[in-house]
Amino acid sequence: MENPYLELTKELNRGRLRVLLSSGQAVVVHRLAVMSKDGDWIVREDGEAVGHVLEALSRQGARYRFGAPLDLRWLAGGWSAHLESRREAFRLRTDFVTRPPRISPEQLARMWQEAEATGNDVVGVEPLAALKLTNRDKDYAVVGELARLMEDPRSQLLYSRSSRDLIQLAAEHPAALTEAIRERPLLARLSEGRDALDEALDRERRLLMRINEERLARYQAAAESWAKLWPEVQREVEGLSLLDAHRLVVSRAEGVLPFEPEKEEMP
Amino acid sequence: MRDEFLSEEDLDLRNLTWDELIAYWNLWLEQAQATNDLDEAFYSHGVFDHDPAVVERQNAAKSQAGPR
Repeated sequence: MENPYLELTKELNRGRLRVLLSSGQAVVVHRLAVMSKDGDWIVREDGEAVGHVLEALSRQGARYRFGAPLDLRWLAGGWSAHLESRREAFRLRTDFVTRPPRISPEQLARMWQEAEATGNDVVGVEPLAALKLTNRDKDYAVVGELARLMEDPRSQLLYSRSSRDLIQLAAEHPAALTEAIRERPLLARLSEGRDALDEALDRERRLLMRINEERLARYQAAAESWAKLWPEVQREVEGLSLLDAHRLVVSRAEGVLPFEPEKEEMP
Repeated sequence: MRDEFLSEEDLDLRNLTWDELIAYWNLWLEQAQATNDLDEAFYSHGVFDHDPAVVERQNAAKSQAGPR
C-alpha cells in the first residue's frame, strides 16, 4: 500500500532529487498529526527540476489553480505555484515553492545537502518547525511537538512552545541556552518563572502570526492585477494540456504578476 | 506533568507500523474529500488566499439560483 503524496514525491524525484515533501504531509511522515489534505513541496531552483515537475504533473492530468506560474523567475521571488489533479478518489493539490518562508538561503542549501546525503526527501523537523511558524494558530501545536523530536538542545530551545520544557532544557543545557538566547529573546525571561514565560510565548506566537500575515499581504497586494485577470486566463487554458496551459499562463502573467513583491519597508 | 499540544490520537501515530500509518493516512485523506466543495476556492499553503475564478463561478451560480 502506498500514499498518493509519497508516490508523487517518488515520481517527482525519479532519477534525481528535485523536491522535498513539506508542510502538513511531512508532519505525518514525522508521525505527528494528520491535519492537511493538500500537498506542499520545496522544489530545487533549477530549470530541469521545474521542467520535470511540470511534465510529471502533466502526465497525471493536472491543471493550474490560481497562483504564480511554475517558472523560476517567479519562484525565485518567493511566489508559490498551485496545481491540482485527481487520483482515484483523491483530489490532489500540489503546491510548490523554491524559496520557503523563514528558511535562510544557507539553511536551504544545507537541507538539500542533507537530503542528498541521506536520500530522505522529507523536510526535517527543524526546518519544518520554521515553516510552521505561520499565521494559523493550529500550526503552533505542531511546532511544540516537532521541537520535542529535535535532537539538538539548542534547536529545542529555539522552537519549544512549552514553558516547562524550556525551563528543563535550560537547566540541563546551559551552553545551548547561551547560544540560543541570541536568536530567541524570549529565553532571557526563563528566570522569571512559568507565568512570565507562558505570557512571553503567547506574545511571541502573536508576533510571529502577524509577521506572516504581513508577508502574505505583500504578496496578495502584488497579485491584485493577476487575480483580476485570472478568471479569463482560466477560461483560456480550459481543455489544454498542462504544458500548453503553462506556456499560456506564463505569457499572460508576464508584465502583470511582478517577479517579486515590493520589499518590506524598513522602519 | 507535561504541556500537551496534540491529542493522544495524533501522537499515537508513532506507535503504528509503517503500513498502519499509511492506511490511517489514506483513510483520513479519503474522508477529508467530503469537504472538497467547501474549500474549493481556498489555499492551505503558499502566498495566495483564494482562487478568484472559483469565487466568480460560485457567485454566478448563486445569482442564477436567485433569491430564496
